Amino acid sequence: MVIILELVIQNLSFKYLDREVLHDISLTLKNSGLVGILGPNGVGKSTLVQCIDRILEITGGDVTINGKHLREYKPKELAKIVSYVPCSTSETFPMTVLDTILVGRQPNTGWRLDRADFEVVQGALEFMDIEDLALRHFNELSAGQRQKVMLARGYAQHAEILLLDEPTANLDIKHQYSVSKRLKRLSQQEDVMVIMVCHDLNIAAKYCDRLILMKDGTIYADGDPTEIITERNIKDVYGVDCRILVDDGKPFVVVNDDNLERVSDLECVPHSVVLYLNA
Amino acid sequence: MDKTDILITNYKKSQRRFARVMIGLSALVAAIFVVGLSVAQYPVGFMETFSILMDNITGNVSIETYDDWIKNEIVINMNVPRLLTGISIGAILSVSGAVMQVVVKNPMADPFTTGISSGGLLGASLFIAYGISVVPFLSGNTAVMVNAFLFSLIPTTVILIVTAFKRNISPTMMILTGIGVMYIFSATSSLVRYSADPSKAAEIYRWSLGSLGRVPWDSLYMVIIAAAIALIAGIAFSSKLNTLSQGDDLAKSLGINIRWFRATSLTICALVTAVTVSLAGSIGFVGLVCPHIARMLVGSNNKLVVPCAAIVGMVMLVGCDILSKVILTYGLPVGAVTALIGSPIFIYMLIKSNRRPW
Repeated sequence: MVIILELVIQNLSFKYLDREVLHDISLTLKNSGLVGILGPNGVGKSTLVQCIDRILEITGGDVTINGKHLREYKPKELAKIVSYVPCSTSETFPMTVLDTILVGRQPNTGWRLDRADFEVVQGALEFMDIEDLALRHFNELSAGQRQKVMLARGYAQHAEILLLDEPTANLDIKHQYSVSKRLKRLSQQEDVMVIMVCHDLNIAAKYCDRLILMKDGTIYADGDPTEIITERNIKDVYGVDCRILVDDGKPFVVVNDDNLERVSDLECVPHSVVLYLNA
Repeated sequence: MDKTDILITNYKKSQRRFARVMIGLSALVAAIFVVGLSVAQYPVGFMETFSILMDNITGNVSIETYDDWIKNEIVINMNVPRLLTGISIGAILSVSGAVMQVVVKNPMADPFTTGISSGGLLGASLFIAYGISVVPFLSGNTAVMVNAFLFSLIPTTVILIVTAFKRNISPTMMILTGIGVMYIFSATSSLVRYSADPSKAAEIYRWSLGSLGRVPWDSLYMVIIAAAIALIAGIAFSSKLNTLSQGDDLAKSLGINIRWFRATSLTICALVTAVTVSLAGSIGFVGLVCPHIARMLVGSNNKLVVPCAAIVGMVMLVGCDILSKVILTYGLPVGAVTALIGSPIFIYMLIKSNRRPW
């Protein structure tokens, strides 16, 4: 197989003040595919994704994309290779959907827009099936529609690596599956490496080619869905008892809620810490 | 016609409102300018104004009576520079406000909440009351201007220094730093005014009200240059402002060095606003409210907001300045009139607006 795209993470660590958020993360991802990052709240999934896009500066280890160190990339150069969709946005002065998606073209164009930009935006609108929203105002949309607009913007950036922070968080069940399926198709047909942080184990198991399970700021397990989604792993990482069914060759998690009180024993970092880190 | 063409057509259609608004407002500015030429405490006839103007342009000014002289003085040396000052300052304040509101992510930000005018006032007060000039050997108006200019840059400098030392400073912390400095400066100004002798205190008070009538022909070029810089920078920044308005993480991910961008844009806003403060005193309201009026008119795409804000600022400031001259014969401070007339319009627009803008 010819390697056209390679993301290598070696011993990555990230410290915020004195707290070690990520440590000893090593990972090699090659070519296109849909990769899911799983793990309990506050384990550092979003932080890892932000380190890969250099939104946060790693405090140890190395990240290389196509053989070049992350810190050697100019910001604009990196923006052409890596695109990032945060899990929520708060716009001070919201624009129309079209203008919002056009922002995704920023690394590729300057001030003036040309036809090619609109072609890409049209593609992005079709990709997320939101053509009817094009001229609506972003703040008039529902949470789910906003999420699709943000994904369309990430798509419009036309990067080779697409980092998504909980892309299905605000969607109803139909759209959770349709969006996941589109992401899978994107990774297969347009050779994009899609890395998504995900909380839905069943969606991750059904669509992802590879899963990375995180615990305590590092990688606990890494492999294909059948290797990762096991009763033992789920118990160890999430502290949840479950049964694994198999549907169409993919694992499916059924939670046993008898001992769920013990979830509170887990060392969970409040969400606010993650938000603080993002600030 | 494929789907992209339809999209482009729709996009252009959605921007037609912008063209209409801009044409309407430009016509309004032109009308205000024409009317403003002849409005003064001492009445000059409408047609007379134009013959004076033409004479001056063609270069055959014939002054025979005292009346001729005073009319010529009013039109050429008072009204024209005052209108040009108003147009420039309106654009500067409004564009700076529009840029700052996006850069610090706060709809309440304007060139004054970040402390610029309080700095100017302190600078002016120190010279008027005690003759303290930052640059030695200056006197009179020049010293007041230079002092006001330099002092009004201090709050932004403090913000930038704090930003340089504290890597993860949030935009809200930046604006709160500005507000902190503003309070220190206003308190000091109050003390200076309190301890100064009454005639000087009155002069400080007059300075603090702000006026468009203080800028003579030979310093007019400064506000015009500042206005040009504000507009060019605002338009050049607008694409990045759009990106920044969607969040810091995203802007970073799209390849923008947000710390550098914030510092540069705030510095430019501070410099151009400092020019207006040093020449015309503090004129509030325009910088805060006109950008919001512009957003209500053309939406929040900064490529459209910046030019629209500039022209809304011109209309608001110059229009109100003319009204302030006619309401009472002795003339009212333009800052107060702008707020008195502009605020009801603004509140009406807020209530009337169907969309929930932000």
